[in-house]
Amino acid sequence: MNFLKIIVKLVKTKEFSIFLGLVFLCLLLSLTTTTFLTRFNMAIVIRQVSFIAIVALGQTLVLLTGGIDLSVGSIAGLSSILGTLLMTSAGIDPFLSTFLGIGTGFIFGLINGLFIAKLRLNAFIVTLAFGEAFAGMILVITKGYPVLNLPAAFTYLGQGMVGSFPVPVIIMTVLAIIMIIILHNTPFGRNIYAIGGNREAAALVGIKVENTIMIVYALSGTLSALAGLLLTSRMNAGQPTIGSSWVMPSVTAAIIGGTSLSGGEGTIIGTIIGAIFMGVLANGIVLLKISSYWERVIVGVVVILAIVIDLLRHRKRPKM
Amino acid sequence: MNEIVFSAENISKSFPGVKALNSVSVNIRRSEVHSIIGENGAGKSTLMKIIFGLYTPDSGELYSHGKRVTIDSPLAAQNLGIGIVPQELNLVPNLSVKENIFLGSQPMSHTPYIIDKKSLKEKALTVIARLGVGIDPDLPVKALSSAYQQLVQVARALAFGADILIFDEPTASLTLKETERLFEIIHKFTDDGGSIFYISHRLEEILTISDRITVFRDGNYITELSPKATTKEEMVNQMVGREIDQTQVRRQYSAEGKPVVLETRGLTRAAEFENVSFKLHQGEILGFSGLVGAGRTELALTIFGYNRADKGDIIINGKLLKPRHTSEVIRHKLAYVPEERRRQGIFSLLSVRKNMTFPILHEFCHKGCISGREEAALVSDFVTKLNIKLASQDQKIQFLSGGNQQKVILSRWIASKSEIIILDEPTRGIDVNAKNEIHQLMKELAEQGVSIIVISSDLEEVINLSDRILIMHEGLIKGEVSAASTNQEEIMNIALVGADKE
Repeated sequence: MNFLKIIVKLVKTKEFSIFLGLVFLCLLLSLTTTTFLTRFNMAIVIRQVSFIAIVALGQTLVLLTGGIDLSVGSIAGLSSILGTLLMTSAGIDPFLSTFLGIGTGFIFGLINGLFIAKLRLNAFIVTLAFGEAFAGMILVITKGYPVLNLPAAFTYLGQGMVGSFPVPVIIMTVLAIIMIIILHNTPFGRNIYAIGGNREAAALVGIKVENTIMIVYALSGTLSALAGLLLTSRMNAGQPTIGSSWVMPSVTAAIIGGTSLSGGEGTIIGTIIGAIFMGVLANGIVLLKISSYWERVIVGVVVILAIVIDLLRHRKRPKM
Repeated sequence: MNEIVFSAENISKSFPGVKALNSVSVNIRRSEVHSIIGENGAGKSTLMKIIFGLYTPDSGELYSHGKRVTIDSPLAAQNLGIGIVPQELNLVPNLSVKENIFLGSQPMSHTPYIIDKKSLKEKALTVIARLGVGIDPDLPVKALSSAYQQLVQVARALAFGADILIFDEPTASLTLKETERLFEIIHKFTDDGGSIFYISHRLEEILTISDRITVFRDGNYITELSPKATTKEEMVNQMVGREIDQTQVRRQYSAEGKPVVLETRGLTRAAEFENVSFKLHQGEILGFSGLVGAGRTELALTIFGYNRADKGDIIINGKLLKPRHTSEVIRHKLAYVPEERRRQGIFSLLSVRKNMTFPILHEFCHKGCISGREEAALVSDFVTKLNIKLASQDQKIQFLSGGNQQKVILSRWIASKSEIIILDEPTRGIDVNAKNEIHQLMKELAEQGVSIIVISSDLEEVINLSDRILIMHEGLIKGEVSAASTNQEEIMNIALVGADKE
């Protein structure tokens, strides 16, 4: 009886509908291709998804407060370059350098948060502008050349395996679990939902709105930097272009997973399923030998479809 | 007597839980200023919104020059020559005066989609000349004082060719001189054959400007008064009525020997309230009476640390506070239950349980994580104690009735063991049963030593509930009365008549 109730409740969630979509997409691909459901292909998909998913975790927090972070890609790139320069030019221990690189992401995110929370500036324009500045800094520092000759120890992060799982996938999973606990079981997580749902009411129950928002942007920056360094390690080179294409997919994963752009609504599970869905979609385009030029068109249309379907679901509910 | 140009017959209108208008009839004659007075919620604004096509009545008829009409939009009202000068300024600040006057009805040139700028300016000058004031039509509206902005609104109504104008509290933000100027314009307008519905809380003005005064109370037509024969006292009596609900038992309380838990000294915040000093004693229920816009909510938000005071002191339990954030005040066991529940009180996307526990989350935290079991136990406790009607704790709060939502918010602050609770319009829009329960709860809290401030525009509520009442008007404390020995007339007199004497 109780079990049945839980099942019914589960089926009614937004996350479940995107999960169904994912199952459908996987079925379709395993029927139309011979290569999709192979261990080799699955490993590729899940590893690719893991980088974006880590960025999307932070993006979800930001979206939950009613903001948006358009600088995730630039922060990933700049922090990776700084981290790799520390281990090559400065000769600092690779693990310490990685840690410091992630730390720069925290600082860049904090700068975003400072302008958005304290000065009450619009998140869209602040992160767009800082994103541009950070992207510019990458070119100033690297002049467009990759940072090469990375220490061998560093490559374990992106290329190593634990059992049959790639390290980035393990990291993503652990972070997702931590994030779920933060959002559901800590006052900080509650406050994020409260601020996104009703900022004025949040201030009136004593929530420190500004501080919370700053921390959220700092976390988004931190996770972006981590994802950037993981990919750098995977590619064994500090490419200036790392992360440059991550803004759209990080927002997309969250939105497809049911996070509301106006804040206060969304879950980590949804975002992870959303990220996997987008990863499988991209993989499918390759496997079905559709011209990769079409990929962005398809992604764009899928996102529009997802938000229209969500809108229609909302319309059906009783209006208050 | 001039002929009737417009009339509303047997108009009724209900909103969920309230009968805003109960079969009222009013009419207006040519060249007449017809004032409508009543307390907050008497139904005067609702009627004006029906005449201007913002609401549709549930029943009743409207007649323009004796002909039955339907007014289902402001455009329909404008086509019948009805214009409104709303209480709140409704202009586009960055556009010029002339563009604001003709917004939506710009004169067009022969080229399609292009505005005829020359004709726009000429027409604007003609309308401004009718007002008899010198306003440069090229200035952006934001460069004008609020009085002149008000005149631009009048000009906009005139530009539509309105011959019936509705003024909704036009003088609320005007100085004495500006008000006189406005009256000249009103006289000129009526001399030219126009008619005016005039709504104001300033009784002195009503007596000066009106040809006829209609009194509303609780959605009902009460009486019609002649400004030549009536007095301010009579107007107040008619607005308030005489019946007072005697079902509630007055509690016995004496502040003698009780410590002062909250005090303000000369508290001031520009354009909101000025030099407010009062004391609240332990276990006391202190009422704040006054009309909407008297500065009571603003005062509460400043004490609560949401806004910062320009001048003056806030002292809680003998400690001087300069709160920069609500959390500092909450730590001193002060709570605020806001006026607008939906906008400031509830988190509509979250469950009842999460809504209730925000200020006390730390109490359920073990090693940083919230214990769901302890939280649910506390919430279920309050659901029983306060008789909150819900399907489950996990139900979203937005699906509860207003009364039950308010009980959840109250639980929030009772659970956090608040010693001082400020309630802002605690029972507005709440049904009678829940209202009585909330009143009972407040009295019980006071008996337990909690000190309570009640801000309410409902005079009956303030009188029945409070031990002592402070009366505010336009940002100032106008007087203090003992609830046991006062009545509604006295309070309204202190607020309105007292204010007019200045």
